Amino acid sequence: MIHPGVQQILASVIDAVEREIAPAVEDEYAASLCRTVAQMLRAVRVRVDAEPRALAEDNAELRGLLAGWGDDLPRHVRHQVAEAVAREPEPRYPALPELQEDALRLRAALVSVIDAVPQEDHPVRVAARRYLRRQLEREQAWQQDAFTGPRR
Amino acid sequence: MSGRLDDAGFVGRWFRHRAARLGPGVVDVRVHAVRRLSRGVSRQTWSVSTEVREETGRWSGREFIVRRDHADGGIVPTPLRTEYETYRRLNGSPVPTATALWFEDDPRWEPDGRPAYVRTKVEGDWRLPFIADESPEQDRARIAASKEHLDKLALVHTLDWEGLGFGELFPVPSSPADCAENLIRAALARLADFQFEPNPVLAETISWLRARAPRDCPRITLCKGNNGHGEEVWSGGRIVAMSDWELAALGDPAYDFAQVQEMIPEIHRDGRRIWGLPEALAYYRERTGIEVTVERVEFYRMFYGVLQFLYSHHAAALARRRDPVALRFMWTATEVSFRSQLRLARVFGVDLMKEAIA
Repeated sequence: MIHPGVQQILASVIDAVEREIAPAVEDEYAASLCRTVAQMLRAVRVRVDAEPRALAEDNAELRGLLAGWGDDLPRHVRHQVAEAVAREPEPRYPALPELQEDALRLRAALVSVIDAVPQEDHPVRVAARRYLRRQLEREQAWQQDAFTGPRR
Repeated sequence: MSGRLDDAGFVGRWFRHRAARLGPGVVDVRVHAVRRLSRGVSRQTWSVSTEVREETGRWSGREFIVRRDHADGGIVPTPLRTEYETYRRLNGSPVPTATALWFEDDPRWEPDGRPAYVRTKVEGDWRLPFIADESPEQDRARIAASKEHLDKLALVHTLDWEGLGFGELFPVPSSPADCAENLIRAALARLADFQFEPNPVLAETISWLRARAPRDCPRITLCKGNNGHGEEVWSGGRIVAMSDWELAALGDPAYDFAQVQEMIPEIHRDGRRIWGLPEALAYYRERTGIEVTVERVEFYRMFYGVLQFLYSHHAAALARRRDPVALRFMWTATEVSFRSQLRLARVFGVDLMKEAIA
């Protein structure tokens, strides 16, 4: 499942804490913690969304500054600066919304393939099932394993 | 005129306006308390404590139940009206249920501005503390309760569903052989109303289920859907009300056996099984003359993953429309939805399910 995503999930958690749980809490300290929880989650919600881009921009700006200073810097820090500038990580993944759109297109195509190839033992269907296993295994970490203990 | 369901004053005015619907001879009502019951997550259930006055002038205590969707909607994509109409059609039949009193869709009286229906409250308890007790002393009680449950399922399955109008509520199979395929068609048609994301796991499973859909069902019956421990009201060792008809359908009675919760315990003594699914099916066949095979029950157990996907995807669809959505909807849309896919994947041989939800 692509949706609901992190933003929607956190919005629901914040809403439950503020609208349903906090008003029913009588202990003053516990009520105070409810307010902290909601605000922390607001920060997490924005951070999840904004941090990768902010850090990428920040790193690019700082890398440019450090690289530009070069020989103007005192000799004993030049090596550390040059090494830090050189170790730029490879850009690896597109942004999450682009990945999600891509996944929806690809999965819709796979549904069409399954519907169009009715023989279960056809190599296409066999390979599709192997892929589906791996897809579920990849999602399992946050969709199943992260949940522990009573939910209700 | 509309007011809040947690406002006993408003509920008092509402019930007085509908006093004639509260029961034969009721002319007035006083509402003492309204409280939300925590049990059940798919819809809201509220209890209303009252005193009613009959034409004789005598006041007596009586409780009612109000059912409605959550503000965000219902998790199970069965309309509230269908649930009400199911009760209404069952009233007066041999199947014990609460009495459906009225469906409130007059905007002046809908609590919190959304539809609700009112039914009687049947006294009893949904808990059977001994049903999971595996000590030999409980064997007799467990088997007796299991038989009582089977007797009540037999009543459901032998109803004249056509005469009672259930063909107007649920998709009707074209023949007994069509029962499984009809259920698959109905689930996919319902899903098409709100599906927002392609799901290859579901597509692969549907292909497998269609290839294995049983065609040896002997007759079309009304089926209750989820049933068993936690779904019915018990009193004095008897089921006095069968509740929760959200997954009711017309189809193969094996559909119900696949959804029995705890009420067909496997009991082994001295190396011999003295009670379990085969014995329960034999007992049921004696009562009804209907042959239900273990193979068909297994098929509908596999099919249950489709129902779970249906309602968890419905919760996810509601979550897309409302921001924020109630947290229980969000949980259903995430963990429960993923688990439905794990259940579906079992059908085609991929078993990644770990522990049951606590």
